[in-house]
Amino acid sequence: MSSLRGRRVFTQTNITLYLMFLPAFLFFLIFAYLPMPGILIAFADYRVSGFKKWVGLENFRYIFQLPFFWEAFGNTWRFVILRYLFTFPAPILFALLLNEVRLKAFQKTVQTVSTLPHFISWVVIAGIWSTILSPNSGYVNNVIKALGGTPIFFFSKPSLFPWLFTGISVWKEVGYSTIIYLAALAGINPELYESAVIDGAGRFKQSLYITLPGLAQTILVVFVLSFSGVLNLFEPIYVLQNQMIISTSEVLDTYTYKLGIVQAKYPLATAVGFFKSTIALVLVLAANFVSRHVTEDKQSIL
Amino acid sequence: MRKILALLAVLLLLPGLAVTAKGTGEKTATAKEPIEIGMSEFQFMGDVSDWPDLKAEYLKEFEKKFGVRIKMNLIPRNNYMEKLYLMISTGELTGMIRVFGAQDVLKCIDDGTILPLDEYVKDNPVYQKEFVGYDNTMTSDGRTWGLFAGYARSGIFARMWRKDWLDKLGLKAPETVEELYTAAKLMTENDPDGNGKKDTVGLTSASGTWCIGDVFHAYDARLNDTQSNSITWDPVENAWGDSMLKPGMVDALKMMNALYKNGYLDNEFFTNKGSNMRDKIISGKYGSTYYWMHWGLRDAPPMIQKNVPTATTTAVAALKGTRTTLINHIVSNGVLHVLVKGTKNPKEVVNSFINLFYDNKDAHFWGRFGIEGKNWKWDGNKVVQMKDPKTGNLMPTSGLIDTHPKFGFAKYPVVPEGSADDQAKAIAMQNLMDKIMDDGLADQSLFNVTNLYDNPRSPKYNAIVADLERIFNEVIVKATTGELSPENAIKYYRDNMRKLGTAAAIEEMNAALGLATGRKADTKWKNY
Repeated sequence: MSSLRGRRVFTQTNITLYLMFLPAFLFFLIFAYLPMPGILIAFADYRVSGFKKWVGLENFRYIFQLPFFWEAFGNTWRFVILRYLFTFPAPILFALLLNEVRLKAFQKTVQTVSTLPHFISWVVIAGIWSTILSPNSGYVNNVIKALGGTPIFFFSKPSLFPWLFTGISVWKEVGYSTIIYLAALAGINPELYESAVIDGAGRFKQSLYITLPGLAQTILVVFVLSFSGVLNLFEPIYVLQNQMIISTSEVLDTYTYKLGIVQAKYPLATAVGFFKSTIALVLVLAANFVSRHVTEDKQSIL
Repeated sequence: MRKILALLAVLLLLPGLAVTAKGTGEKTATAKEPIEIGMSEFQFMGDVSDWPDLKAEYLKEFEKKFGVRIKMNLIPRNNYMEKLYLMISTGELTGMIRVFGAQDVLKCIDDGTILPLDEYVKDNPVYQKEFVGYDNTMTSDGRTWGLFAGYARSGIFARMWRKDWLDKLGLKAPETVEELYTAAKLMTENDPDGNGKKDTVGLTSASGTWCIGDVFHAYDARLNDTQSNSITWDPVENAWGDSMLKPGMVDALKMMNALYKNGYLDNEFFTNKGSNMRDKIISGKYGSTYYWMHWGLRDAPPMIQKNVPTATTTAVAALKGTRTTLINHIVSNGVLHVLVKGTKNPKEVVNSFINLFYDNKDAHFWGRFGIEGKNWKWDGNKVVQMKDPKTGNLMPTSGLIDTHPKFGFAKYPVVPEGSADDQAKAIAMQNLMDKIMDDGLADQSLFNVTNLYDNPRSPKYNAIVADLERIFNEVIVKATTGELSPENAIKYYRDNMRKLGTAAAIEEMNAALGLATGRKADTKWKNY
């Protein structure tokens, strides 16, 4: 604050910048902050016709004693763990591999083709993969049958679904997520690689001692920011889910939707949303705290 | 400075334009406004996004002809009720809105979002004759809350078969569950389409048990009205109960397992949506499903014939097994209209709705079929559904209300535009469907379900129904695929029902109807 003393806030230059910033500020104010009092619905008996009375933590107590709530909670964390084990590192590895490709035309083609699935909606992707993996007419099972095997009904096996979902997520997002890492790689000083070559470092050691440290800051930023929406899984799970795999595919979002939105029990849906947001906030703050001890300048990401 | 002023001007002008645009839509005329009836629909001239010009023309012409303005709220069929609730909660929706069934009305009553109709309609002779006279209202706690959109015996699911396949295999239409198994086996294994490939399947279904409920009915393990769980009112017991507890459920699950593991039942029966199931039948590769009788007998054959010109179908209304009477049900009432709280001039709105659609012949058929002269036309006393000149398909219908005895098929047959032969076939088809239902009622294989008994009236049930159906579906999947034996699957079900408190919900349902407890002291019933 002492550095601001004596400085004019609204100069001719600053006003232009503030005015450019104003629409975005108003957008977040109107759509993110003004509706926030709606969280109070989680503490009320709120019907379709409106507010009836305050009930304190009763909605939370009700939710927590439902038999399938904790199953959905556990499934959600399963998907989160698989995401950080596979979906998160996949674009990093892919970026490292792409970076090693010397034929630029091939590199660009692979990058473009791998990015395209990101722009397809999950509804369409569910249709595509249901068709590809169909037990009766899917391409995969046609190959299996041609090789003399028995067709596999992939979307009927609860134990298989988390892996299927993770694989489809990697396929969808790896190309797009690679862009940020490729941009970071472009920022690494090429002289470091030249020095490494002179010192006798091979490709692998160059990746280990130059490339990865160069990417570390970017990885950390993406990692911390990814926690804010870590428990949000509604759309992809909902379109791929069916009753045969419900035991491993029901997550908090889909369970809340069926309980709270389909049956118009808005307080329950709000309570679960509030619960999820609290967990996400704790995770983001924890990751940010840890980042302070990991970054070179000992500054947190946020 | 100029840049700042320019930016300010842009930022201030935009909201100003928006406000002005809203204002210019308002009329300045002082003429008397027509009565406005708010309505909600999901199949008004096709789906929500279909035929926009025709929809707009209908509303304009309807107002011109009948002096009543319909304020139409179109909501997609998928997730219709949840969107309806959201619109009511925001105050966007008023008027006579459509809900699916009595359970939805009970929820609206509980939420305080609808008005009882008694005070508004008690002096209306049309209401007394056309609604009270046919017991076509939904009542609760002694008050009238909903009006059924129609009164006709059109609501029946029947087992539809490919008749040409049955003929080729030397089979008659299966009437028992054992005959169903044999037919499904032969249709899968004996190349009924004669192409030399093993590419046909006997049975298909959708959403699990939705389109195979007759197998359960046959084993005296009735599923509910929509085949979505096993809590149902049984006319033999005259009480609500849980068929999952009946001995017949073990046999039904064994049959499901046998059909599935041998490949006689489509292995995607749980992942199929209704549209997938219909497409599979239309493809000509699947031999049977349990679905709306009018679809199987009337609507499906022309579609199947586009792929298989010689395809024909037949239907069986009630599959027999250990249960031989009161097997399948006919739902006499359709969906419901309720009056939303906050509707302006509610008395005027509800009486206009009743008098228009249930007393005025022209308005009734406009409400069912669309614009006279464009969607339909008169040919003597026949209502002729017209065809789209571009595609040759029948024009979409307005579907605001359903058929009613005052303007029913007997007095005003509905036929498609076409030759006298086509029209005669349409009338013959309707007569055939009526005969199937009449014969079923006569031999007591079918029974009528009034609105009183086809939907539970229990807040406790409403509170647990989502979890209950989840567990029911799990049991069906695990028993059908063989992951669990039927006995263990039922044990799993009972353990979970105990936790949900389902017994108390069933007691509440029976108490609401003044019926005896659903649990009896004999060996057919065991508690959870």
